[in-house]
Amino acid sequence: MERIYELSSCSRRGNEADSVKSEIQNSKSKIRVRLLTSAPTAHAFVLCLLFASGCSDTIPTGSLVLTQTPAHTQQTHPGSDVLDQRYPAGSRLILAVPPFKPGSIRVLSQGLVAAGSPLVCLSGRRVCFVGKSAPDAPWQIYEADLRGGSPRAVTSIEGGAMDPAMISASEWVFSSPVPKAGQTWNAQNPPALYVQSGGQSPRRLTFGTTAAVQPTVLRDGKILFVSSHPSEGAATAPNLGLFTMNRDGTELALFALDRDGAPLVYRPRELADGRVAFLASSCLAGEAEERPESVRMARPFRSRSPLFLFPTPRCRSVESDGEGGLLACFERGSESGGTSVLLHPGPLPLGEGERSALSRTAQRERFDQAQDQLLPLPAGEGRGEGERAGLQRAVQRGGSTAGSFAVYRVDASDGALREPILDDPAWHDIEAAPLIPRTPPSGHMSTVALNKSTGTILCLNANFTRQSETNGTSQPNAARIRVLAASTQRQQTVLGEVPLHSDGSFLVEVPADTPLGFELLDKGGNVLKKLPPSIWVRPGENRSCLGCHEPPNRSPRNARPIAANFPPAVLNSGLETLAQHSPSRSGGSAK
Amino acid sequence: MKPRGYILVSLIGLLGLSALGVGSHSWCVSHVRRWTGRNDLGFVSCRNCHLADVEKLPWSKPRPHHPAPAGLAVSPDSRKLYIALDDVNEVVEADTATRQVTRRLRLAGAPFGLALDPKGQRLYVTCRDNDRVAAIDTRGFSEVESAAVGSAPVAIAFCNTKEGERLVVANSISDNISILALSPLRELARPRAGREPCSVAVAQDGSVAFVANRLAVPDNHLAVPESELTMLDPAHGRILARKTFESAHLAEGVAAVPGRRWSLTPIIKVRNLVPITQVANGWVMSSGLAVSDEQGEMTLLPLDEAHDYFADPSGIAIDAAGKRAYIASGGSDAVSVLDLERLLSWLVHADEAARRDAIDDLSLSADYVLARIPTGRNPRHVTLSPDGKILFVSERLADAVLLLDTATLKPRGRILLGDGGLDDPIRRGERVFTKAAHTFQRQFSCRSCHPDGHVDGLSYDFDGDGIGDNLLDNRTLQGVAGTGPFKWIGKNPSLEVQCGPRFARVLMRTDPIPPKDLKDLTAYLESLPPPRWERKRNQPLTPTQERGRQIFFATTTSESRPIPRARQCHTCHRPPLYTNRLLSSVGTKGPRDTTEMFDTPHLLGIAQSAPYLHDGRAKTLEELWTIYQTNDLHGVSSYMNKHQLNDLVEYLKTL
Repeated sequence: MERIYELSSCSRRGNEADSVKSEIQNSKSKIRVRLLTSAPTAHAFVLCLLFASGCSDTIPTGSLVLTQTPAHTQQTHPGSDVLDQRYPAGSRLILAVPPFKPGSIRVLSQGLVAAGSPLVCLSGRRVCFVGKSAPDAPWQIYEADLRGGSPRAVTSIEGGAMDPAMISASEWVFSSPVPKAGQTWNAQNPPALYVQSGGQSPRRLTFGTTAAVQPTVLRDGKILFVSSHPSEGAATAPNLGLFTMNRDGTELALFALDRDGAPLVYRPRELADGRVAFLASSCLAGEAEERPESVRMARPFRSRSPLFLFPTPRCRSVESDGEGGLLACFERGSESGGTSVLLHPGPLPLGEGERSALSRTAQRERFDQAQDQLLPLPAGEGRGEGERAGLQRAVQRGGSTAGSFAVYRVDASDGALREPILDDPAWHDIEAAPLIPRTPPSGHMSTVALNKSTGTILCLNANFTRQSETNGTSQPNAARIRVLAASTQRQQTVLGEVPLHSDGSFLVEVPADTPLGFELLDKGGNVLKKLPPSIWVRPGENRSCLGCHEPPNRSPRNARPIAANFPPAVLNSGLETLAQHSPSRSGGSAK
Repeated sequence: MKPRGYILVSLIGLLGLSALGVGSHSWCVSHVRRWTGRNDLGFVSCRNCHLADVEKLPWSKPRPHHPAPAGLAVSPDSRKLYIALDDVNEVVEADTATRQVTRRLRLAGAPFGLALDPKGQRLYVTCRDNDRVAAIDTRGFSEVESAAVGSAPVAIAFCNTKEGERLVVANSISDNISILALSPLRELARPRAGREPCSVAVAQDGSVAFVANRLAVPDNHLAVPESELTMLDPAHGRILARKTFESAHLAEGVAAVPGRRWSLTPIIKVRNLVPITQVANGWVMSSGLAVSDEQGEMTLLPLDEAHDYFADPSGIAIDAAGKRAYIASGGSDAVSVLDLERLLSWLVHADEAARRDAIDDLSLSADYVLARIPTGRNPRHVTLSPDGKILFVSERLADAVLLLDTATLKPRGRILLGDGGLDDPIRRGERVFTKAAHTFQRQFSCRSCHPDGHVDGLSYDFDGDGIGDNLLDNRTLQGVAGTGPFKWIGKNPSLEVQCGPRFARVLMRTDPIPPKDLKDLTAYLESLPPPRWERKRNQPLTPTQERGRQIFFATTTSESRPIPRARQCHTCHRPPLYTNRLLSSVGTKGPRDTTEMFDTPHLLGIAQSAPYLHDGRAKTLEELWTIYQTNDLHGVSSYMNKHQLNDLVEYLKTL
């Protein structure tokens, strides 16, 4: 058995995952028996079969999976959902092989009315994506074999599924339901993250009151996703951040973006150089201003900055190309002077300048400096064969490349980008993913005990908060903590109150898989600080925090919390709505 | 005989054998119950107390040895590198240009630390296993002198003082420092250090020597642990100051900043008092750098990043200009390059609160860490060539020395000393043991809590059994073979179970160690002998120790009152491993413990594994019977006077 895998692996590219191994084993089980038992001639026969079946579909190095949306499309009808907007009817997923000439593509979403969000599986041999089979059908996640064949649906969840990300060879995380256009952040039933293994039913991972979307899996095994910072009441505009959690929904934590820039963020992706790239926008109504930005893993809260040093054309996606560079889909400009952009040469300089997010003016200055150093290419000069063909077709149609999205490869070694590697004027090329096998993310041994209905929360010092929260005043001096919960209708209820120990610590048993919030109360019952219901614990999870709005990326001081000397407090005040519970709310900066 | 007869005889025989088996088992159980006083025992084996043969244990058998590089020293012209190979008892000389070993010297006693005189004529070597310092003439490459020092010398530094040339030696087991004069080589003084002094550096002007100690001195198990930076006058051995690394330990390297009376010490910032509900954000431990300035003020700064960790920092080197520091992270296979000007600038501008909290701010290191350079397996010692152009890094478990160009921060090549020993399961197991990649975000390795397989002297609160419940003292892994079950409550029947998925869930928080690696890891753990086993076993007992031995095996008190069998020392701590591998109640149940029955620990090397009892509440062996004895449940000690107790303790130290 092992021998077969070795033989086949040497004929196939890359570091194949277990799924590939099982695939080979399943499809060639009879051959396996022969190989282990028969004479050398049989071995040769098997080798021939393997090469014949495995190598004939070899996909060239540098191939891409690409989302294309029609360049000229009708307006989406009212009531459409966010994916209808993102991937209008006719959107498709293609396999493009270098040198990306016309005719060298294969449609992977054959039979679907729209598709997008390509995700190359860890083995580099299959691709997952969202698609819909009929105009009125819900969006589901599909899987296609890059060697051919029709896509097959791997989810059939009510309300649809979107934003797939791979956890392991047989496990992926996605967001569901697909919200109506413009309602992602204020939907009554906001999208949550689910995990699905093989043919099993999806399991819900997030239990917040706001949407959890666009997950990606970091190399350390954490799931990074976009969600909204908790806010009191119906916020007019969401303020989004990047959050992480384990693959079982435990250890929810804010990863980056704490109200330090454009409030809307999309498509976070971990890069090979220790950064996380994402698209940022200030405009809720569309994607007109999406700009690629990044944070450094080493200090995510003090390193938000533009990903590229060029005047911000619209960008629809950024992915690592697996070779140290990036694949990005930009909108082509007016083409008057050709395109010329520059990748930021590695991590940003360290020091005081980076301590706070760059101001818009500072960003602009840096862009201008970068522009001064670049010599624009004459229009048309240096363009590749594929682009010339595309331009030709555009001219024939009477179209123009202006306004069309194209795929660029940004080489990290020289930092300069001269021309798109792929641009079909009839289509917007909006999401490109390289066909490369990837190292599976680290695993996680779950501590969730589904036979339990509660978890515990240990807070080391509820009075410990970041300086910006105190407005220069001293740390709060709370006496009790009130635990809140929220229903799916976002109605808040009071679960009970717990006294704080003299060191500010408390340990409390709370219901699992329920949005939880906290109010810090002084002796008179005044609310000093408030965290609206937004976090949760999984069944059996022991969750800890340093304080209330504590500084990020902070380790605890080595001191034994007094609360750890006692069993967890049990909340027993019964459920009552916050309106029924009438605490004095004056004197606090509840937020 | 007819077939029916054969069947009948067979049946009778089987019945007889069954009866014999049941009877034997019943007798065994009642025998053990009678001895231990425990009536709840259902199954025991003769091997619990008898048939244990030390000679058959893995750690007692010969094992393969490997040319693992330890201490390094570079000649003044940067052309020669001297490398200590403790596991094969050799010191070698290598040509830095050709990267070939040119000469070898056999030197018994595990040569470990190296120091070269400024002229490059004498190489001084600490021989860890035979407690001496040897002087080697570098021209003839032969040993010319030797001097006895304290137990297990591991680090050495040469310095010029006003009183003449001196050597400062850290003796890791005897917890002291030897000051040696040269010509002839002789010990002048042996002042006390902290616990396990492991590294030495001397200020450029010879005015002060810094000795970093690896472990915290045992204190109240709920108190913040502190390890010591001993500052002394190298001319006379007079102690100048004893500074502490607050809540930090495992200092295995120290360097003096040129032109200042500052020292830099890589440390592990430990957070053992906080319940281990997570490991993210350095919840259990993180790597740091302790900066001690002119006033002796100590500031701890982080070496890790917010989402990436550089475990087990050890060796440190600073360039002659004092602008850069290089720190090896043995668990993460990396060398971190620090910009000292930025670091010192941060220190100058930081207020007291910022300094105090710096070590807990994981995003701070990006201010002064310039680069992380990948290395081979387990980099431990580093040294710079005198011209500062090459950094030498001992890749201990790769049997190689890496040469890094300090201008480009790129490798120049390697001096290969061996093949890495990948055919040896024990060596492979050691690689697993020291590898932080098995932990979430590479935060720590097995070695981070068990330096060299031993203890870190701390107690931890694992949350698997509830927050705050069952504090656990960290137990030694040296001499662990054959002493199962494992864990203080005896839950794990084997080391595979102890180190497998359970551990991944409770502590590592990532994938379990793969089965093949787990097997190698077990082989490594079982190969670890008790501390100084070979030396102790052949040592005759002193009169004090002999009196202690008689107390240990006593069946009556000094007043001739019989001691119940269940409370005689040797009933539970049965030789030769000094454990009967059963749970016992010795009256030590704490307020948050969920059981009163705890595993009987083996006593081999007990003197070096303080603190004691399941939660580490006893700082010393004496405290077991002076403070934490309850109604003579932990052996009968109420009849002992101070001298008898002292005798007993002295005997225990010989095990």
